[in-house]
Amino acid sequence: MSQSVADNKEIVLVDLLDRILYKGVILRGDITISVANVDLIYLGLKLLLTSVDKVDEMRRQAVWGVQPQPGSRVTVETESR
Amino acid sequence: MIYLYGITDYSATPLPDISGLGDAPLLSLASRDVLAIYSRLVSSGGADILLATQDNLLKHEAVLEALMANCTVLPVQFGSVYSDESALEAALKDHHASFVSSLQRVRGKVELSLRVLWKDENRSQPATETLHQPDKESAPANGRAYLLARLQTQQADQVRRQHAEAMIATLKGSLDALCKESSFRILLDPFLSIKTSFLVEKEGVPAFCRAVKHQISTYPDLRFVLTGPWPPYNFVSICDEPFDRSLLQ
Repeated sequence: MSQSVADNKEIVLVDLLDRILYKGVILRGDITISVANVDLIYLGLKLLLTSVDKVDEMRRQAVWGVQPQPGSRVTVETESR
Repeated sequence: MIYLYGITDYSATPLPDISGLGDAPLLSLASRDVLAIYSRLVSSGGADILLATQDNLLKHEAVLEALMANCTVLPVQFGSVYSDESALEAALKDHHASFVSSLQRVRGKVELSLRVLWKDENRSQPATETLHQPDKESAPANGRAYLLARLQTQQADQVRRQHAEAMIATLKGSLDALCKESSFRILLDPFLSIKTSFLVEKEGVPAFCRAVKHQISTYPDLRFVLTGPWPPYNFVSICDEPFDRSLLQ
């Protein structure tokens, strides 16, 4: 897999998570899903299981000289999924 | 427990040949002219907890995309769990009118996502200004320095916003005719970053993609990423807030 393809796959997954966790029909269920253990999600999947806003925050941190998080590299090219 | 994936029109269309979370078979529950797609949820260790794992998240999306292939679907946010069918049926009845109108809104359409970024983050800095970016590791020497830094940051944000707004106007001008609805969001940071979503007729997707590629060719200094087609997550407005999602931030 080329680096470009891998990068694009990351972007697609970030796009997915931005939708699946924050958008769509929001209904009140009977139980609460476990989202408190964000580190578990993050460590397991690096950047892929966080929101786009989180990605941008990480990139901003990198630009401002703060130690970036693993996986914060984001390069994109045009590609339809 | 049962887990809800999406809402579709009631129809004779068979459920897609795909399993749900925990490989449970998909089931459907009708309420008048809408249909809820769900599966039984196997509780782990008896705890009423659903983990947002990679497998679960991707499975949720896979079910929605399988549904989307054959019918109109309202994607439900990850994590909607009900104690049993009667609880789900009550939710369907409560929101029936909203489901019907939302299905009408997105019928035959899909969502496309377009993000715009500078290729080089340095280019996103205002070209005509020499704005000093505050160093987060060094505190301002005095109040005046602090206020100056704040002013410079605001000026930089303003320039970036102007860049982004100009780009949005361009995108609207070229793409709005090819979609039914669109939404734009500017992320103010040293990268010019615009998040857009478009609601596009299924058969109009190729033409839309061609139009985007044409736009890309006119902006060699920008990076674009176009993804989709997605279920119309950004074009349903039914909200019955289930819990504090700020925990995810």
